[in-house]
Amino acid sequence: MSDRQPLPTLSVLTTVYNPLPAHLDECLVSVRSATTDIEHIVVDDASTDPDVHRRLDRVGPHVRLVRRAANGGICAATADALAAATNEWLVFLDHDDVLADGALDELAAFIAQHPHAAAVYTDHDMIRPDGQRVEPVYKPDFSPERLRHTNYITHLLAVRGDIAIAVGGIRPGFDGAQDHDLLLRIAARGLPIEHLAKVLYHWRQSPASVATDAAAKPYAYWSGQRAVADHLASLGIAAEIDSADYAGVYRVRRHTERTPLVSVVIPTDGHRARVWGTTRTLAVEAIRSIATSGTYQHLEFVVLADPDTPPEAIAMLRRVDDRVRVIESTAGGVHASIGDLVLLLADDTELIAPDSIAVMVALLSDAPNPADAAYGAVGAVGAKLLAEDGTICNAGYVVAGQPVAVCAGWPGDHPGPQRVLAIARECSAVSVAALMTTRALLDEVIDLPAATPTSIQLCSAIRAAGRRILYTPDASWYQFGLAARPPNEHNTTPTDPYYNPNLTPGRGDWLELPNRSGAPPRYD
Amino acid sequence: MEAEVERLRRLVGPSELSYRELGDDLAAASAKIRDLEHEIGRLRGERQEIDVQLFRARQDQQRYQTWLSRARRAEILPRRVLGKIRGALTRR
Repeated sequence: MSDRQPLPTLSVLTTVYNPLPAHLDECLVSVRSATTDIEHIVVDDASTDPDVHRRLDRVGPHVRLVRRAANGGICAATADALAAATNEWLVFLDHDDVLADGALDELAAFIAQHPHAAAVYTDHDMIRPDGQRVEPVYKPDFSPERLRHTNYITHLLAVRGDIAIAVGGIRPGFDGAQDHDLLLRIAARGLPIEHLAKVLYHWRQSPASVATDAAAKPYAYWSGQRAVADHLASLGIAAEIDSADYAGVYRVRRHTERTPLVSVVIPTDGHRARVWGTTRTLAVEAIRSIATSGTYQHLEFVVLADPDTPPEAIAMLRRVDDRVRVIESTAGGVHASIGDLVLLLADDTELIAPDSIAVMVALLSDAPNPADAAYGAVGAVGAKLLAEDGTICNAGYVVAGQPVAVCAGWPGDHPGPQRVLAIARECSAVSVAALMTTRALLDEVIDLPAATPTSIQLCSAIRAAGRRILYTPDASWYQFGLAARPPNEHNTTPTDPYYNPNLTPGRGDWLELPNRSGAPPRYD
Repeated sequence: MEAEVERLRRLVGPSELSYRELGDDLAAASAKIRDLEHEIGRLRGERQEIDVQLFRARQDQQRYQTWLSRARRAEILPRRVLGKIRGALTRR
């Protein structure tokens, strides 16, 4: 018992601007139930609704009310709240949202168990206009690249007060994305961000809320875009940030001056198969698609030909491009390649996005920075693989339980649950059918002559070396005729940090386990 | 030499042209097949997504039914107790 950490003190920060009084009431009541040491800082950002004034006049002694003389927007109001806070941790609560029963007590206990944490976030669900709680959002553990593409964290967020101040507090001009901006500045310093996998926050879907319509506050996404650009610039990563096809999702295109030699390593047995009605030698077309439509040209193709490969196939492979070297042995062939980067490519593939290789190279070329030092540099990048019919073949694996490809069989242009198919993000494993890594890492983590590793084996070894593995939808190939569930893939861990323990293991579709959110079932 | 190439090309000309046209036809047919495959894939993908929604709905329904049967049991219990008390009182 003596080793039990003392509970931290919490300051709940709520900025108020004309919410429905009933919603404000629910919000205030949800904080009052906490038994841990808290203060509730409520900043009224010059609300004009007299009912809101009347409600705020009746707040209890645990609430410290700050009234702003003029409306200054959410950044200014939150900055005032932060300045008024006196406790160790800051907890952000919007004026119409509700904390789950016991949320602050659980949060305090979790923080006490993770004394090194700079920030903590939890899962959340939504409150529909009719009051029903729906759509639990189960998040992965901290995923820095994902945070650059979307604020997947949102609510409930708690940040250590001294750290919030040290990174610059709430910056003006980031209205609507002030929390995303704060998180990105914490992440830029490589500080630990922990995840409590439990729904402790109920986010109200009001008509003007981002929870209802992600396009309701376009300024929030412009702010978010600037926050991501600032974050990347602070890390020395040159990139262009656009809004993607989905509200709240950013497209980060890194620029790199580096054009290292990439060895495209293709094991093959010279197999011929029918694809879209015509018969092709698979490896030949895999190479031809890169050579003719790919934008990255500093390549060598190393074909590892199985002893059973027909001589005519080998002759065709030698003719297809003058950068092709055919090695008539699959064992140890990777070591015959000379590139600084190695793209492991299945022979039954065809390039889709012309700049796929350039995108992967850029993701592996970030300059050393504090975030990578703390969270691990990128060790491997996997592409989006589409089957012959254009459906998802592989977009990374979920390795909780039996490894399974994420959203296999879903439409190729589907954003996926929580937009997982549409954003670059960390995952536990990607497919070796199109995986780029560095030669140094391959030499470090794996004894390649001994065996051809499976996706899970290779990715586990890379992660064990402290590196992150990224999936990117901006690099894409067709992969013909392979099962979504990889054969001979064995899992050694029951959980996947980039999935969630509240989601069904052995599935890649983010299906919630029953009875996890506390939300009543939906009957729409 | 060039004249000889020209003479030979004239000889095989129609065949060469036909070969090219056949190649173009093949490429167009292949593109058409790809488009059709993608259309089937889109439908297949939507079905796959609906399967997940159906699974989720069934899971929710099962949960609702469990909750409902518990609520019914909870509702019946006081009635039974009350009935027993009433019966005992009547017997007296």
